[in-house]
Amino acid sequence: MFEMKIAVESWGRDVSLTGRLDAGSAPDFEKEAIAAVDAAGESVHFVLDFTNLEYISSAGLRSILVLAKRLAPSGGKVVLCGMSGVVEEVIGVSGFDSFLPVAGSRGDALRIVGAV
Amino acid sequence: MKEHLFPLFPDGRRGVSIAAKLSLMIIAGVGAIFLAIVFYGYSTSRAVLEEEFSARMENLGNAAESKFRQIPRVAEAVTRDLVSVLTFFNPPPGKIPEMMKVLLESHPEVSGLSIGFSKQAGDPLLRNFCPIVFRRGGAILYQDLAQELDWTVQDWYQLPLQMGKPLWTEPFFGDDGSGAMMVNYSVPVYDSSWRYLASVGASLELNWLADIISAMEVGGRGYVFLVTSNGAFVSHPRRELLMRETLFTVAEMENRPDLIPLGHSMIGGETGVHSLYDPLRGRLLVFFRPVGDMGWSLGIVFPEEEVLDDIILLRRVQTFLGLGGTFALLLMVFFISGRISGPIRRLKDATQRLSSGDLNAPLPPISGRDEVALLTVSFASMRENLLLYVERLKNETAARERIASELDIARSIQMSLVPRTFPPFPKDGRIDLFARLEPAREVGGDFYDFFRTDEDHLMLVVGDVSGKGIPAALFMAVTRSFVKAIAAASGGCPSPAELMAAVNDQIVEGNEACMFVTLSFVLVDLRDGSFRYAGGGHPFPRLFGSEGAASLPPVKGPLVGAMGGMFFEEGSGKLKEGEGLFLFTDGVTEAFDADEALLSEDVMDRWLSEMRSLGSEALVSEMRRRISGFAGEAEQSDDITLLCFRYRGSETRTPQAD
Repeated sequence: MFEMKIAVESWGRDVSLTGRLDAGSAPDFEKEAIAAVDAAGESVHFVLDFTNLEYISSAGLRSILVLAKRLAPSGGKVVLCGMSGVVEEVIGVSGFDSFLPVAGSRGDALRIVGAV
Repeated sequence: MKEHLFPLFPDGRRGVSIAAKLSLMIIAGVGAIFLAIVFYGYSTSRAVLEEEFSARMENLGNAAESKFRQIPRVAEAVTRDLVSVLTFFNPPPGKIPEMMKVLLESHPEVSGLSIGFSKQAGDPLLRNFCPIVFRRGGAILYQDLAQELDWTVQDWYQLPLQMGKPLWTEPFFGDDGSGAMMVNYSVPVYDSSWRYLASVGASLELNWLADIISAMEVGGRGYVFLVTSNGAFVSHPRRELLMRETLFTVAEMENRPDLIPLGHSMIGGETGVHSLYDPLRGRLLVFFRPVGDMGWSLGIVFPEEEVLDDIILLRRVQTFLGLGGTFALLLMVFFISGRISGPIRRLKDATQRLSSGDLNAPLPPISGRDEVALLTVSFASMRENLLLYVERLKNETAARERIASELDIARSIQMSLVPRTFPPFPKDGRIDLFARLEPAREVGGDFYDFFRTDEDHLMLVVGDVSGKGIPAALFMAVTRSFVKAIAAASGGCPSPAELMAAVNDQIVEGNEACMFVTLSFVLVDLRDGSFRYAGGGHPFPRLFGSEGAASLPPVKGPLVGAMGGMFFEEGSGKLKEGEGLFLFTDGVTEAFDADEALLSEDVMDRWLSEMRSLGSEALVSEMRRRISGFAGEAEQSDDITLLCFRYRGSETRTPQAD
């Protein structure tokens, strides 16, 4: 149903999400993401690739918000990219794009976190 | 013995224990074999014993027979001598008595001699002459019988004359007063011209019979009897029968019909064994055989039980051994089957307790490595699994109950926060308002509210808190309080966008849990139907009227509570009389059907357009009905909130009565 792949990069974590990020899967996502932050131990950025994400609910949004707030004190950013369809709509309606950087493409996202 | 009683089976019948079944079957089998052996042994040994009896009796009879012949032969010899003397020497009548005395003297076995001359004898001197000699008191006496009676009518004279040959007469009691039983041997004598001269007889006392018979060692309770050629008893322990009765008369007198065939066999000169029933002595075996030349028959009688003494004893011993053996076998079978079925029974008791719910009932100790031990092991592991399963079920149930009770609490908070009295403003004829909140089983956080900020302004609020349970419910309560408090503080006509920004900032302050809420505000001016609205991450309200239904133009605004200092855009519009606003949460547009297809905003808009002429309550109910129809079997995944406001126009109408 829901799958996430976390790749460790020099600038932080490249996270690819697949399936539905809803009340069922959000707690797992939150736990793993926070664990990744704790494991990094220093300022890291997160790129969340939504290309394969089919749906995101308010619980999913909240877990992303938790991650963003967790990174903020150390200057880490959460960049969203690859959005389309329902997911793009939800992000737009929720106004997430007004407090999280949203990149049109994956390349843009990597530029934002300074990887390229 | 109570634990040995079998419980009832489901069909209401009582069972039979394995021990009892095994014992019954073994005893039945062994008993049948035992009976067969006893019966076979009895019948074969009986036949052997009967044969042996027959042979013994035959020996006895042969010994008697040879003795039996001796004495009659003496009588016959003496008689023949007398006849020879009479016919060869033709002695004068005066000499005859002396001759007879001499003859009798030299033959002590013979008790008397007699000559009965024919009354037509050639010598006239002989025509009335019947000389007899006999012993009395050790002396030999002479008598002429002709002086006393007519000898020619007596058997010993008449029978040889009639038969024309020597013969033995039937026995009779002698007339000498001794009461001795006698028998005569009589010979016919003819003269030279073949005329009948005389009948010459020798009489024998039968006391030698008694000697012979008593000399026969029959042993036990056996006895010997002797019958003549017509069945008359000449020897029998019952003296009253002698000479008077025959086998046939006794058969009639004593009602013993089985004596008749015996009588016929005996007088017919046969040899054999008959079985008789004597009412006084029980079953008897009779061996019989002819003896001597007189046509007599000897019978030897034994009580059957004496003959079969050995076999009866054998049968008793066999029966006793058999019964004892069977009993011992029964005990052994009980013991052995008890050893076998004991563990099964103990297992049965344990499983009975187990099946009645006592999962901690101890199982019997495992002994040996047989099927029962295996069964016990299987039961033990089954019980372990059951215990584990029950434990897990208990934990799961407890967890589920805890969650359920938490959800219940959250739900009751949620439902107590939303106004549920309709119509809400019955005195205000401009307002036709109805709302409904349908909580999902687990996820929740929807709420709605409406209140008049002053006489002519109506505030509509719909929100959806992220998260679930009690935290979400409390967050919802806080949000609602902020909305009401800030709206009240900002006077009668607050700006929805500013109100939302203020609420946002208030919530962000101290929002450790990162919870947020989507909000939709609409402030309607009831005087002319104009309205202003703002949105915080929430689907925009729909405006519906005679031309259909459409979303209000989007205005910018992020989720409320996520980040402070956010800016919210404000939009505005105007309701004509009869037009309305429809506020909802994403539980409507994101309702799933069984195939996980979303309802979508397009479908909702179409439905709304179709229902545009309905009153608010009817519209909400119909919308709910259609959503349920769409979802079908699929469980409601999120709260569903529907709020409908229809503007009935400015105060031209009469207010409804309270």
